[in-house]
Amino acid sequence: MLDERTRDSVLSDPEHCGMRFFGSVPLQSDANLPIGMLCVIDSTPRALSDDQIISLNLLSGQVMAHIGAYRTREAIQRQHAMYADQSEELLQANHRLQEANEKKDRFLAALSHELRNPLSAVSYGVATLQAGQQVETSEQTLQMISAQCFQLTRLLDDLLDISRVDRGLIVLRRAPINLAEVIQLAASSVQNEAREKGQHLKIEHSERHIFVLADKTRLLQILVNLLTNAIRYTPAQGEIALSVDVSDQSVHIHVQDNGIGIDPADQLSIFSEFSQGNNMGDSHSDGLGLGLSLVAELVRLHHGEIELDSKGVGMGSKFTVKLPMAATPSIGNCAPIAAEAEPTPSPMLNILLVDDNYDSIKPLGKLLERRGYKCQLSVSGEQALEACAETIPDVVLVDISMPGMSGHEFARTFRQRYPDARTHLYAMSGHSQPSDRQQSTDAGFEHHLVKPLEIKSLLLLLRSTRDQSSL
Amino acid sequence: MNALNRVDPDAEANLYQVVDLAAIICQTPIAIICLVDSERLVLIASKGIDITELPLTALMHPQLASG
Repeated sequence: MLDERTRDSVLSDPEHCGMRFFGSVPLQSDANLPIGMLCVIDSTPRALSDDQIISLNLLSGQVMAHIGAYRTREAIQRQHAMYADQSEELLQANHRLQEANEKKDRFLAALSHELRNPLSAVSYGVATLQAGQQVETSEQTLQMISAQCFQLTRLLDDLLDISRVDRGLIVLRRAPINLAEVIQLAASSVQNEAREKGQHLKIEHSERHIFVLADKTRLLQILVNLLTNAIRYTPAQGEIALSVDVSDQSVHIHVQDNGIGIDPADQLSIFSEFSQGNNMGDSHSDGLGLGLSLVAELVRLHHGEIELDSKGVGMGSKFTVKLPMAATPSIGNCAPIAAEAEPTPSPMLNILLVDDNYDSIKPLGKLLERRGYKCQLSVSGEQALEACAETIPDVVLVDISMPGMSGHEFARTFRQRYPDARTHLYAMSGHSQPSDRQQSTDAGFEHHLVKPLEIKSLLLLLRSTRDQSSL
Repeated sequence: MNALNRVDPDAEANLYQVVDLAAIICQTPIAIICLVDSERLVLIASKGIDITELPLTALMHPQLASG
């Protein structure tokens, strides 16, 4: 007898398995949807007892449990694979961080070394001066101290600039610049250094005016850094040459030396931060490799290119900076250099110097007095206000970051208390960002001077202030 | 559904035990576990028969298969 339900099935075919009976229970998913069946099949008609049906239902539950377990396992495996990927990524990121950290450690070690050398030279010089010496020796010592201070300032400037470049804070003010003028400035600022090492500094550039599209200060920085680098890595009596040639629409500035050269292996990395060629022994270990990476960044900001050509160790180096040439400039770009400050005495200007670091304002006060100004010193904003209560000064030079009353607070209080005073307030600060300047302006300062103060500019400023006051 | 068609070796062994048990309990020569795909039945474990798939109509009422 043929089961009604099996009649049309291919399985009923005697050629197949001659199905005459089939019993099935559904496989139900978690959502109670039938996704399949557990079937028993026989070639003879039969019926299933209740117990057998219950057993089949139990078994179908087991099937789902196995499939479910499989699905869970598969999901777990997928997750494991994902975790493995992520952990690999984390490991790599960690590795990169470690490398960066080591690089930073090496950099800090180099930096402290670099700062310590000029500092110890300075303190040695000061000690010699204190010991008392003949006049000409002390003159030399003073020169040495001043050179070392200059070195320190330049190092810190480079360091700050690198960090500004990194944060994208350097904005170029590009204009057509007379290249000859900038080369002249660069050469004169490194001449002493070269002379001290007995090196010959050769500047070759054509007489005709070449104008490049550049930020004058930054271009000067590029050239000074390249020249300083050449001087540093060229032995005494060596030769350093700066030359210029023009091709197409770009200007090529070459700085060539016959110094220690650069290993081809190091040539690619020489422009990256904190890099210093490996071929340099201890005697050359000064320098952070900041200069060249800063140069490369500044050249890049100028849409220029920098190239290095060195045949190898001991073969000298040649750096070439390519900058876009500027169209013929309008008249007035060759502004005359500001006149030197003259030591004209100005007996009537009363200056109040305010800084919690007494040692830094004491010599400044002495210097200004020697120039004919009347100076008073205060070591806090509070003390300065007391001084103002007695005599209102013509100029107050205030340090911004002081414990207690800050420079900003002082300026605000002063302006509030003496709204009619014609006193000129100058801020002194180690910070030189536009936001710092803005804060000073907001507080009521007329000028924001960056430490260390450039004495020449300060004197010029005071002189123009005096001229204004006497009007 | 398609994910279920790939059955891992461990689960497969367990499913073969299930069909063996079903056949023993119901005293039938054949037992199968199949999953419903969009147009066929996929056998993921079987005893007494050596096929891997069947048309939907093989074990279903026509109205069930279409439903």
